[in-house]
This record gives sequence, C-alpha cells and structure tokens, in this order.
Amino acid sequence: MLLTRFLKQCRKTNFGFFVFVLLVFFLYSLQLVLKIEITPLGYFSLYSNSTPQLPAYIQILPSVGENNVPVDIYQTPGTAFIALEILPSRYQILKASDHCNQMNHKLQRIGLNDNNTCDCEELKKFTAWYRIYAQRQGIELSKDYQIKAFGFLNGQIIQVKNVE
Amino acid sequence: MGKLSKLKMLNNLHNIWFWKRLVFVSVFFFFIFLWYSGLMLQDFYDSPFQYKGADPTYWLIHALRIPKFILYNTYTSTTFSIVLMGLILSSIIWVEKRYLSICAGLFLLVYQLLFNYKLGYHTHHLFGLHFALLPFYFRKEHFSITANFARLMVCLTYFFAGFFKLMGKAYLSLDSFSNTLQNQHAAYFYFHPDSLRSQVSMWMIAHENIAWTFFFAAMIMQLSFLFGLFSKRFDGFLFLFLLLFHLMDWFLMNLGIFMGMCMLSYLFVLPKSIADGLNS
Repeated sequence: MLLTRFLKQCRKTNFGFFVFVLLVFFLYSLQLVLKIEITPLGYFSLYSNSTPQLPAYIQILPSVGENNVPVDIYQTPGTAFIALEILPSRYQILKASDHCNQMNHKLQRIGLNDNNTCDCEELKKFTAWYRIYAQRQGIELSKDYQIKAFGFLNGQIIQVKNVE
Repeated sequence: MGKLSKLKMLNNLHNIWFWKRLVFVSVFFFFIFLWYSGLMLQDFYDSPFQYKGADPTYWLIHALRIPKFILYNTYTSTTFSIVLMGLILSSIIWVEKRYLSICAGLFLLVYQLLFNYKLGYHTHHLFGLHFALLPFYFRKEHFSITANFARLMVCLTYFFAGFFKLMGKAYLSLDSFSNTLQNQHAAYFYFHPDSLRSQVSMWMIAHENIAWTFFFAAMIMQLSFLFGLFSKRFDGFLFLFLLLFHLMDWFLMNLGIFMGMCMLSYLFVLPKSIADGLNS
C-alpha cells in the first residue's frame, strides 16, 4: 500500500519529517474521536446531510426602506458577496449561542467551557459595523437599514422576518 | 511551438523551482483576487467578531493577543497584507531561498486564522494552499517525500469529504440536491434570474434526477481519492476530478472562492524524476 510504503520510506530518509507526519495523523485521529475542530477534515461534512424541501429558503440580508427591499449583495466585485452573505447569518447564529460560541457544547464535551462575556458585548456593535463593511465593498446602506430574514422560493420573496 | 522551446518546457517540468514558481504565482494571483474581493484583513480589522469555536489554534492566537496586535488599526492590518504579498512575491523571485517560503506560509496561516476569527466562521477555502505549499518549506533533497505526503493528505481529505456524504445519506433523497440548490441560490435567483448560473440551477431544480446524478457523481469523485492512498496509477483521473469538482463547485454552487484549491492538482502530475520513490 502506498501509505505504508510512504511511512517506511519517510522513517528511513527523514526521521524529523516522519515525526511531523505522525503528529498530523494523530491530530486527524483525535478530531475523529473527540469531534472537535482541529483539522480541515470536519469542515468537509458540508452538504452531507439531506436538505429537506421547505416552503421558503431563508437568507439573511440587509434591507432598506419600509417596503423590506433586500439589498443586492451580488453586485460587489469578485467574490465579496460571500462575506456579505456569511456575516449576518453568523451574527444571528452566534448571538443565539451559549456565550456567543456556537461550539461551546463541543468544548464542554472535552471538559472545557467558554464562559466569556465580552464576545456577546462586542456583537452588539454588529449592525453599525456591517454598514461600514458594506460601504467598503461599494454598497451604501442608509443609517436606518435593518437586517432581515428573507424567505425565498424560486426567486420570489415569500416571507420577511425581523432578525433583531 | 519550436522544437527548442518544447524541449525547454519539458526540461522545466523536471525542475522543482519551476513547480515552486508555478504554485507561488498561483497563490499570488489568488491573493490579488481576494484583495479585489475585499477579503483582506484591512477590510475586517474592526469586525465585532472574535470567533474561536472549539479550535485550539484560535484560542491560542487569542490568548497571545495576536489579533489585537495585527488588527490594531487599518494601517497595521494593511501593512500585514502588504508584507504577506511581498513574501509571496519574494518566494517567486528568490526561488531558492527556503526561509522566504516558510515566512510566506506562516503569514498565510496567520491571515487565514485572523480572517476566520473576524468573519465569525471558520472557513476552509485556504487550507488547500497550505498543502500546495508544504513541499517547498523543506530542503530540495526532501521534495519527493514531502510532495508525496501533501498528495496523501489531499487524497485523505477529499476521500473524507466523500465519506461524510456517504454517511450523511443525502444521496438517499432524490430531491436533496435540488433543495440544496434552492437554498444556496435563494437570494441569487431573486436578484439575477437571467444569469446562466440561475438558468442552469433552476433547470436542475426542476429535474431532480439530474441534480441527484450531479451530487452522486461529486460524491463518487471524492470517494475515488481513496485509490490515491493505494497507488499513483490513477493520478491522471484524480487530477481531472479535482479540477472538475471545483469548477462545478464554482459554477453550480457559486463557490468561486474555492477555486484556489485547484492549485493542489499539481501534486498529481509531478514527473517521476522529482516525485519518485513511491511510484507503483
């Protein structure tokens, strides 16, 4: 097997690197056993579970005006939209998490606990900061803009909910 | 193409420095793209997130107050980005200076950690760059063994991506990928209904069996990286699978940010003369 041949050859030719390789494999194994984040391995479980059919698919977006008009974040240069998409979703998830750490339950599994309070305190600045960030990407949001959860289906807005 | 230039190109393929330059040039252009996309630290330095999750690396950088130092203000974070780009560029110019590559790699790692810390989410679009650069951190004499290790890690990672899909059983629901596409492009369909991506995705949503086939094919492609752990005989296919997977990831899922992962494909086409020893 290529893997075992590699390990044998590695041990013979460069013992220091062999130790490094063992350390990496140990970290990967540890992640599989403890189910915490150490390596990129766990991130690849994305889209693994079945996505159910829903009446509307939610996306959190900045909204302007009284008529709940979502802002087109896809007009930004390159792949900037990805951050504009992720940031408000993460804000909502983290704000609702235990001590604003979505992974606190995983930390508790290994006997640790994130009980800091400053992360949640910092998050209170999010709405104001997101406006600045959007401006850096060329999107002007009015001061009274709001972050809303829009429910879409086949390119149509089905529902709008307030996030805060 | 003249005979001489063909010969020169073939000779280049057997030269480690050619591959190093190729990888670092790709990394450099990828960072130009990230800069253009407003995804550098100077764009995020004042973000209210300081997300550490359950990853000890983030807790360590937080405890060492590294974010406070580098992300102190727009000037410090911009300086960091310039130094990072400078180190990548220096590694291309002074290709034999290994310490420059190591510094570039370290800066890249710090960039990735701080970016995720300030984004509030531990993204993984940059991990491929570390695997791609790994063989160049070590002495030239060890290139074969380190490149083989990076290749094995790529195989392991992509295999696990497929394995998790297999365990997650999404392939058992015919409409799962159609729903994933609806979810992924929820707002995109609203803003850009006439784009090619929207049209193709809409068509796939309407044809659940075609969408399912795409998902299943992607899972099989990822699972096939298992063969890479046993033999190098299928490297040509794995090279194509890797490129195809990320191309479709960009087109169908609008995840162009992962295109940087294509750099990893070089590990599957290295000539025997520089990545020998383990060929079967």
